[in-house]
Amino acid sequence: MKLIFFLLIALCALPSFAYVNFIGHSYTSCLNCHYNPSGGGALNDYGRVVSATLVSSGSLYPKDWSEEKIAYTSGFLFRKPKQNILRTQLNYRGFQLVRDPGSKSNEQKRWINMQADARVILKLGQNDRFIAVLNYGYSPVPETQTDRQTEWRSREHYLGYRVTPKFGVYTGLMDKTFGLKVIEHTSFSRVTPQATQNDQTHGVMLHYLAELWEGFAHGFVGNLSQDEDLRMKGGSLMGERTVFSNHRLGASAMVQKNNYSDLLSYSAHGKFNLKEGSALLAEIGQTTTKTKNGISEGTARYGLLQTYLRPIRGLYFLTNIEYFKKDVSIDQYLVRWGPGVQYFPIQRIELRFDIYNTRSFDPDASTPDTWSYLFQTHLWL
Amino acid sequence: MKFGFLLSLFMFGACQTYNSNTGDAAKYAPTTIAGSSEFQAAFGVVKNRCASCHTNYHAEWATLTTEQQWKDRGLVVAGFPSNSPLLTRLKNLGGDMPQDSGNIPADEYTALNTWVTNLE
Repeated sequence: MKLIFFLLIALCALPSFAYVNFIGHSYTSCLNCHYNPSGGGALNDYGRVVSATLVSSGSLYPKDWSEEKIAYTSGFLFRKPKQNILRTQLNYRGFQLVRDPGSKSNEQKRWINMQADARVILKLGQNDRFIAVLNYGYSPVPETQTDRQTEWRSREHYLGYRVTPKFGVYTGLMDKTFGLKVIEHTSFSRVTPQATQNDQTHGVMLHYLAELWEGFAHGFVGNLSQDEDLRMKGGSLMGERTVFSNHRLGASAMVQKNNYSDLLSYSAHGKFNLKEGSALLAEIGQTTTKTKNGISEGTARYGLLQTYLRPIRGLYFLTNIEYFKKDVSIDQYLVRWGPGVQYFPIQRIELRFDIYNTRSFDPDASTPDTWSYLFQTHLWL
Repeated sequence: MKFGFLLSLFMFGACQTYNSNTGDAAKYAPTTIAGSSEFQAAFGVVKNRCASCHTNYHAEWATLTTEQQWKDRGLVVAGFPSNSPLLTRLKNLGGDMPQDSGNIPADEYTALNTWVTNLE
């Protein structure tokens, strides 16, 4: 039973990060909609308006509601904020995961409450020059870890200060800045460099935003709520440049180590605006691992290709293709792919359905494909 | 006082935070194991192929440093590889492990098989 639980956790895609595909709406920088300039976590006021208007379907509103009126309902509990200092947010994600659907012997179904966050944001000064973000919530822990691991955690707590509109300093517990922060946090591009939704770290991040490019430098000391020997200490650099008006190319590098392993990761990525909300995302990268005991060493390589096609407002058709080679020295790799549908029927509700097929390519052996599907509900207030 | 309590709850908390590194000690710390040479070879395969991917259940396997522990947990049945979950879950035998790769290499499979076959 524990094994089954673990498998479900390990296999499921845990949407938690940013919606990188919104470059399809010409948002090249995450700072437009998030307090954290590298994306993810709490939305700023503008981001909530975007989620209520541009992203979500307008078909369920009364016909005489203007976009401006809808925008005014994007605040906490559907209200327009009466002050400009404090913001609160609630966020929930859960999903039904079905593995080996249709198999009489192996089908596994489970509803997983993946995320339930309460967020408080204090913001001061013109254009939110100073921010303090607290994000506390629930995240499931494998059953075998519950003796020492808590399901309730601080997901983020950091202070941010925009020294100038272009330059900001952020310090506290934040996601590692690396690569495309796609919402599928169990994608190989997030798992391999250890940058999943649970891998926040205490540190200092510098952010520079120019007209055509954006740069990040993140130094970190690990998550201080972990034992010292486990904390990954290191740093990352990431840069992105706008090309052809509203596409972006970027590159990342990250070094990190604890008492047991050293990781060196680097990647290149692209975010392409296909117009009218549609987008193409791509990333290739690899991570070299060295371990203190000499085993499990090697270089793993991954690739990610995602398309988001938006036929009408609120609806996105997805295609997700991933490549993973656990060890570049071995002639064996995986491809995981599948279609999906993402629908925002109205602001504060996201419904998503994904199918995943995983196939192993091995010159010496044939193994059966793995199939799974996922139905996700995301609610926010 | 209340603010201080809430702040400490946000920032640290009494328990560990689960993440990609939770199982590192079990996976990567040097381990001294006793037993036959076959067991030592098989143990290396388990650490590399099983515990290296997973940060919970299989990471615990890296702490099973005696042959008796493997038997007690029902993970292997002495003398019967085809009845031992450690092997039957492998893709090499039609199972679904390891999840993120194909069959484990033949020499590593042989190491596991040899150990269980000769286990008393």
